[in-house]
Amino acid sequence: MRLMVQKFVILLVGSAIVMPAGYLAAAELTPAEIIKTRQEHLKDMGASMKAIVDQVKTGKPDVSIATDAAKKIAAYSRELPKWFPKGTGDEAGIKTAAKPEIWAQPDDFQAAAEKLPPEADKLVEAAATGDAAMIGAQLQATGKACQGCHKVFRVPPQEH
Amino acid sequence: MPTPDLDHGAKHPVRLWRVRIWDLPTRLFHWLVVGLFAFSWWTAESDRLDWHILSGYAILALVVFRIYWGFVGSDTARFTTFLKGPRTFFAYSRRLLDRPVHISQGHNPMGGWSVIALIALLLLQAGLGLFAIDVDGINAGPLDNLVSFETGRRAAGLHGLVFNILLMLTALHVAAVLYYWLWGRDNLIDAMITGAKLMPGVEPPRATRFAPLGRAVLGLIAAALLVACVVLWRF
Ligand code: HEC
Ligand code: HEM
Repeated sequence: MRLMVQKFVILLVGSAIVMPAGYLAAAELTPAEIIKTRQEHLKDMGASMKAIVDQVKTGKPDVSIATDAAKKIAAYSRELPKWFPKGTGDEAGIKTAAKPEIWAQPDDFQAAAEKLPPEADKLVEAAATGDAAMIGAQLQATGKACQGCHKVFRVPPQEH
Repeated sequence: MPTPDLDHGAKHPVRLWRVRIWDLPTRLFHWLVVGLFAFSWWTAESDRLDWHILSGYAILALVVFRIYWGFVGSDTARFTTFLKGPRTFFAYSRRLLDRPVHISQGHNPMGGWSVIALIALLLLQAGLGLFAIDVDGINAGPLDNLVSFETGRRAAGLHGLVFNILLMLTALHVAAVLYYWLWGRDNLIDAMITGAKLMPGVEPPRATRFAPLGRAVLGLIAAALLVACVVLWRF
């Protein structure tokens, strides 16, 4: 019993020290780190889209692969607006394709971001059916939501 | 068919002889590529990706055909005829400023290399497109499922880079053609359209050996089938 109390106290004190430290560390992410992290997330989101495209291409989509990927996109889509705090544009001094318009027209950016979650949710539903045509159609609709934001708020790469 | 005597009654008068140099398949290849290249550019810029992809397949089939034709086509279309070694290349380059220029019965020793560069880059460009994917993950080349998203994105990036190189090379190509016409007094464009040109000479120039048209048709069908298999096959 004494041992348990001791452990409890140590745990309590320990977390009292560690938690704010962790919190502070999180708050202290440099703009460069934030940009890097969001780009990783965005790439992962793109890879998830592609994973579903690949499933559709087989003609017989694997429901669990497609659903997992769709859920990931849906989860990311709710985080996305938080990935662009002020100061994480070009001024951060690291390569980013985020346009200054994100911060100049925050309402428009928010509106563009809000288009994604509903489409992503429908993508989860479509994925669950395992129907290639349905998934394909909802992929296009979801992709349009990505594209709608990219067209306005992302510097286009030279790619075609 | 000899034309007017240019040396006013000299012992061996230089005449202009009308010779056919480009066969129909080579000319069709050329002008189709010009049209499709422009179309691909426009559809890419205006986000008509489905048309862009179809146009790319057509270019791919044409280029595959042209490579085949480079081995079994008419004289002037063959790689072995128009790819010349460095000695010929540099010897020719020293005569580039002559006016009128030296008239070639086919690609000249420098132009041949620009032709092979254009063909190789077109092949590379269309090949990269097969693996490319756009940032939204929805518009993807048909072989994209063989690679990761990152590799697909890299392919898309290179697809953009090679396009810019192609644009520059095309500009150089058109500039050279115009130079031959305006400075060198050799109208290459007319020859690429009609297939024939006027060659100066005392004797009639040797006739170009033309490959049978059926061979071209077979090659084109085979090239189209090959491309169809590559893009339709579920790997
Ligand atoms: C509300 C706006 C918005 C939405 C919606 C959005 N994106 Fe983006 N995306 C951006 C911005 C801005 C960037 C540039 C980020 C940077 O470079 O820092 C970006 C970049 C990317 C990148 C490139 C990352 C890199 O650096 O390589 C990918 C991949 C991507 N997005 C995928 C997607 C996908 C897939 C969707 C939809 C499922 C999507 N995005 C939806 C704004 C958005
Ligand atoms: C309006 C623009 C163009 C004009 C006027 C033009 C003109 C010509 C001419 C006259 C030739 C023959 C050269 C010679 O006599 O040796 C030629 C060859 C060639 N051109 Fe063009 N060209 C144009 C655009 C393009 C474009 C856009 C491409 C591809 C990107 C291209 C690719 C080629 C190739 C590959 C050949 C070699 C043809 C063969 O042997 O099969 N051209 N062009």
